[in-house]
Amino acid sequence: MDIKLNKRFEWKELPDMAELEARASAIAKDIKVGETLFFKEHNVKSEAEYKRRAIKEGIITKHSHVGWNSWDETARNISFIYDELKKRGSSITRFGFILDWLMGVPAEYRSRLPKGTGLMLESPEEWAALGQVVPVQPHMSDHMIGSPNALENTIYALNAGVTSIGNVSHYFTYEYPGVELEYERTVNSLTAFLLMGKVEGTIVHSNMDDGFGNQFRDLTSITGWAMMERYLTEDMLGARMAFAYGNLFSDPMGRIIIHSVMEKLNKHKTPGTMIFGNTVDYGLDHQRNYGALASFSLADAIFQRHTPTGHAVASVPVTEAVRIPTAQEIVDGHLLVDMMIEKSQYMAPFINWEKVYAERDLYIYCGKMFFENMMNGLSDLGVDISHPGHIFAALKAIGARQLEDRFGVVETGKRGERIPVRPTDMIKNLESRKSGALQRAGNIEAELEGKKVVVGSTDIHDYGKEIAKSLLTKAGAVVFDLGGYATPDEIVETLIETEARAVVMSSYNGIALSYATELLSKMKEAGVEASLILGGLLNENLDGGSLAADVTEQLREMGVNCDNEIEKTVAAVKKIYES
Amino acid sequence: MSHSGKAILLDFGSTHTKITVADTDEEEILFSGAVPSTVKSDARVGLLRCLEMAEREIGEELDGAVKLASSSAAGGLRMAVIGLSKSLSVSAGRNSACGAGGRILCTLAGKITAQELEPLSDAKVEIILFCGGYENGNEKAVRHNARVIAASRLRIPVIYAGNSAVAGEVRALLTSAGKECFIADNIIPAVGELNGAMAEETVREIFLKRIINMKGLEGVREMLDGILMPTPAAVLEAGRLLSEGCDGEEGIGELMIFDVGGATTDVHSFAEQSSCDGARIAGAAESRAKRTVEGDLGLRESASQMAETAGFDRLAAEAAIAEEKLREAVALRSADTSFIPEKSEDKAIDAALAAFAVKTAARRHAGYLEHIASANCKLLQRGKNLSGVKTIIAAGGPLIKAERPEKILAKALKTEGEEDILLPRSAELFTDKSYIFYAMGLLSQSHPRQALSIMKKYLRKEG
Repeated sequence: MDIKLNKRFEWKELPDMAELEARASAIAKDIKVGETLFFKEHNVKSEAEYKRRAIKEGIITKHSHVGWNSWDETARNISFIYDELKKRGSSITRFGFILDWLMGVPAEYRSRLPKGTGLMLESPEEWAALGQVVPVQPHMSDHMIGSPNALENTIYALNAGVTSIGNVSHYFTYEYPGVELEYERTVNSLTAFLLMGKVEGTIVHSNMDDGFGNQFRDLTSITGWAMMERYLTEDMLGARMAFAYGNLFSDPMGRIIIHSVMEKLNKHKTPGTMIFGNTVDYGLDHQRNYGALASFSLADAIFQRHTPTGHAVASVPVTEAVRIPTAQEIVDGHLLVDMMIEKSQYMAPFINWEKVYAERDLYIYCGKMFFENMMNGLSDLGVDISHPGHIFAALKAIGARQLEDRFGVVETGKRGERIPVRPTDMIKNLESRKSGALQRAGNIEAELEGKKVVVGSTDIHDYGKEIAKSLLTKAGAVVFDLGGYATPDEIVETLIETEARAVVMSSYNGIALSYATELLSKMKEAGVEASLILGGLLNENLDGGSLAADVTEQLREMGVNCDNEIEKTVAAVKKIYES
Repeated sequence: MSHSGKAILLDFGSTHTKITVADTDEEEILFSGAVPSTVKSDARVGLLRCLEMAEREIGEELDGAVKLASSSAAGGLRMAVIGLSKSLSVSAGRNSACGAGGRILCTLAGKITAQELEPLSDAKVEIILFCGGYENGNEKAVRHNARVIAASRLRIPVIYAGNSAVAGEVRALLTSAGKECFIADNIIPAVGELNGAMAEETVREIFLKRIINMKGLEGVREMLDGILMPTPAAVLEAGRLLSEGCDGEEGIGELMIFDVGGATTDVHSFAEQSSCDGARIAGAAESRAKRTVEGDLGLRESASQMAETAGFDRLAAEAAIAEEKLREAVALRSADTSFIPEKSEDKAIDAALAAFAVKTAARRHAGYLEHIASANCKLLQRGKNLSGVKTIIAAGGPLIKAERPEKILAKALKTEGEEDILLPRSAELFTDKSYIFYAMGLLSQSHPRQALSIMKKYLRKEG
């Protein structure tokens, strides 16, 4: 079979399942699920127990992700949110705490990674504090299961009373550049899944949008992939799981459909964790973002009215695309969501559910074929499909793109091209943003004939870069694409080999200012003359403050073009070449 | 080509003319030997003496046997590399020059000056590999460099393997100034891509068609079926075959070869480039087969320079002799480059020198991790990741004749405290005891499967 395996370790060397099973059992004996303030207030022993009751009573729960990089500030902010919402007749059920990525690797490897912007928990006491500030149930999803440090973090979290823990999908896509621990990641994640299966009331969570889900182009592939993750986690490893999704679903009816698909696959009726907000539509304009918030939370609430699954409706603050939101902005979002939940009851009965189910059944039909094709393909490749670790590792080695291309269900167009059965909103969105930008840019043909431009991205996000690249290419420029995570050194070397006078970079990881400073100084050092156009999220956490601040002005003073209007990229490059 | 099943494989070196007779049907070495080189007077004399020895072994079959040769006479193939950025075009150019069997005597980067070109004449450079620019990339600096080369007094072939957009202009500039110019494919066509094949092939072509004539080999050409390549290129071919295998016979996987000579130390590696610990790989792409030559590491011509670098005291301690004695021994080796150690003390001194050469050459050849404080990256990988290499082989005189070659080869391994060098921690160690690598590289061109079986059969495990 013509499949390229990006094999990161020899999975045949993984311990057999009996050994892992024994290890998990031994650990399970010493686990004592902590009692959070939330458990105490509602007199339950797990989040799942509470959710089951809420479903019966018709309560729609609510969620927010929180992440400030010191515990003190985080504690202060969650108290504020809880109190403020209470004061205004509202409430919140759960907080998703975002760990720093350093927490995803064992302590001895942390010095190899630059510190991120998430939470560091250094001792069991700090973990335990998560559920002791306010009676809002903590949820842990990032850098937990699926990361190299999966087992340790899961044990800490359970003992702290956290009973919903992610993230199956992260096994496949979260990377820790500079720390290669794929064997450990696999062993620790498998053991953590087994452990979760032995602790009553726990839920393994997986956000489809963080994993291969956002790399598939077809919603039916996402469906088949959910079957795969569920098969591995529940059927093979004995845990109970719930899916989250939503970041990448912008069409409100699309959200209702995917939700009904996921619930149909939930054969143990495990209560859900939460549905993420749609951030595809979030931009710099806060008023428009309010509209986006209203549209997705209404759709999510409608579905919960009709088919209560326990998934909390998430509020995403309208400032999320610009900076780390403040506590007040989180409160504001919840007040809006409250109104949507209230009004959803009037709309749910009038939705054409027959039509929703017809779509649902199509997704599931195609998804099953994708699942079966993957299992057979793995077997053909000689993968031991009785060992979940081998399956996890082999699927990761094959990668989303190959899986979908080789095993996914597609329709073939007249010219033999692949037509997704149901394209994802991301694909639809990227295409429409691209064509939108091309349209708004006007007549740019031959504007940059033969002009050289270096493009790249400072992190993994390359949509901005891709759009800029299509604009530049259409204008006739010669584009040298350094891809994601381009370092300043590489840019300088490329400038020497190309004589390009313009560098177009996109940045979303909050390092815009230090990156630009380093790049400009290295360019000067090498005697290279070129101008930098920087777009994306131009912010950075300055002077150890906890909020990333906008750095546009500082960048401008340094001579960086940060107009951040992608459709004007061609004009900006032209200006550089004319100067 | 003949069907006698015998192959006569020769190497015209600067000190010896060597011969290996292989039986391709039985996959065996029938004979190997060497006579002092006669390249400086008449190469045919040495060749005839070798053929006579072969005739004694295989008699009449000699006539029908295929006869192939490699050459490293007159100091090998002396090259200069000119490029733009150190880690992209210069580094790719150096890798290609070495891969073609060249010895790099000068390397220039960026916009060059007339003064910078002057040392090339003194160093007797024979070919310039001139690179720079991605496709449709840099033109100005390339044009500038072409003008400087054109204006120089150098009378040697220039291979241009840079941005093809200015290839025509480069050719015009160079030929109108009376320089020979060969245009090859751009060695760095696009970001992250490497294409050194044509540049390397051109180096070999020039070597065979022109330089061999100047090296006293013209007379032997008609007595042979072909002089195929410079000796290092033959060794590289053999290593590639041994590592990768061919139709019908599997290779032995990732490996390194060390050849410590009198003047230089050659290192070959065969390994797929991969990121170590997920580090971001910087610089030009690395090819699977890589060769480097260290001109300052050798046991005779380079002995004093190397001992200076290593420290006489350290070498003396390693060889377990007094420092004063070591100084004398090094001076003797520099003066008499054909010195052959007989006494055990002299063997120990050569072993100590060879150990330093292997240790140093391995670390220059291999890639390394660089800890940086960049805004979006902490770990860069520069060069090739050889940490997965499982086999290390000694080739060439001093190493294969050493009493404990495994002790010398083990110096290539990564040691405690060397966390960032991308060498293996352990490996199986072998010697090319019968000195057949060059020969199997030649034979591989027509009989790859047989050449591979013979190499596997004749490699000797050490330690």
